[in-house]
Amino acid sequence: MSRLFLPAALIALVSQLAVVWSVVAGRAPASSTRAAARWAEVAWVVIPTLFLLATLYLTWNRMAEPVAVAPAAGVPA
Amino acid sequence: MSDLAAGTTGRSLAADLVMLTKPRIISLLLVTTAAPMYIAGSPSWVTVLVVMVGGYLMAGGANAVNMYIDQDIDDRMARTRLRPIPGGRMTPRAVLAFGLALAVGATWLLAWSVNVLTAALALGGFYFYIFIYTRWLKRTTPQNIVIGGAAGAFPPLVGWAATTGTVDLTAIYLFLIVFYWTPPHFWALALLKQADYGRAGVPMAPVIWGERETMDQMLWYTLLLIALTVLPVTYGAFGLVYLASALALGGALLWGVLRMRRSTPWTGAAWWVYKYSLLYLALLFVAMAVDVKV
Repeated sequence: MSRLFLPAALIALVSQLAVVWSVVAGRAPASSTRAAARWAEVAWVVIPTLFLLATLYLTWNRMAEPVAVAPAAGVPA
Repeated sequence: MSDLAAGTTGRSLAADLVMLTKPRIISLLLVTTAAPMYIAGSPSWVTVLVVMVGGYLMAGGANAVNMYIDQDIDDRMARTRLRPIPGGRMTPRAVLAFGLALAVGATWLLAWSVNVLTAALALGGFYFYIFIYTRWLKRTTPQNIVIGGAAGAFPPLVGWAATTGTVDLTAIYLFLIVFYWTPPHFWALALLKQADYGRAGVPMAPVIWGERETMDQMLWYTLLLIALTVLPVTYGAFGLVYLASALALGGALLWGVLRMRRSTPWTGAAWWVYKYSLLYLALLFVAMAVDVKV
């Protein structure tokens, strides 16, 4: 199942970046034309992006962890 | 009770108190609380019952306080005009007191009967909904639903913490799944009710961005959501039963969003996306629990 990681992570990242780009490019503007509102708008899409990146990193680490194997009965651990 | 508006009978008061908690919305929150409890372990039915009651009280309290804060705009929207405050059946102070009492009761119940982390997470969801979403973002940015969606994503963390006493990577994925499910779900409704939101001055995405951009964003968030539902499989949290369910359920949601973008008029397709997305989330969480138990 670990081979699903790359395509799924890629789809997630491309989709998230498309959302960020729509705000940066002005297709999804703020409700006000003030500069502060525009920067806040960018922040609202960057924060989930950072959270997503951190989760993907944790997932990659979890996949790399060795699988714990229980010792067979009668065999000293 | 002297604070209640005149003419309120006992029966209609009970109906109004239930209405303040928004029971239909909470039923889905309870599914996303209960399923993680069984995914994380094997809780006793008493623990599940206590968490359900505590979860209902906390979410119901948040919804009541939300109606207190939004009383000015509820009067301007057809969808909310009949709520107890704009309808003149309850005073704002009574609604606020009711909401806060529910939240205090829920915090005490969860901390005393389950564990402190569960109570803290439930209270975190309450504060997030009241202060971050309702008080701050709802009236200032079209991203209100995106960030505010985090409030609705707390229940899986609550359920997970109730069983394990901690929060791990799979619990974070459950949080993210609800978080990224919220935009395509809620924007389908916002598209249909955009005139209402415009009249009330609430900057929902369709009001500020227009219909086309909102539908484009719904598509991106749906793709993100489907990818996120697959990722827990990659490190062994779930197996093939769940994977097949997630892809089938997600494929249907994607089909619905694509159909909405192509349809003219799109209102029928938007209703379908809104209603199906409710079923989607419930079935996805049930599939997780079934996969772990079989």
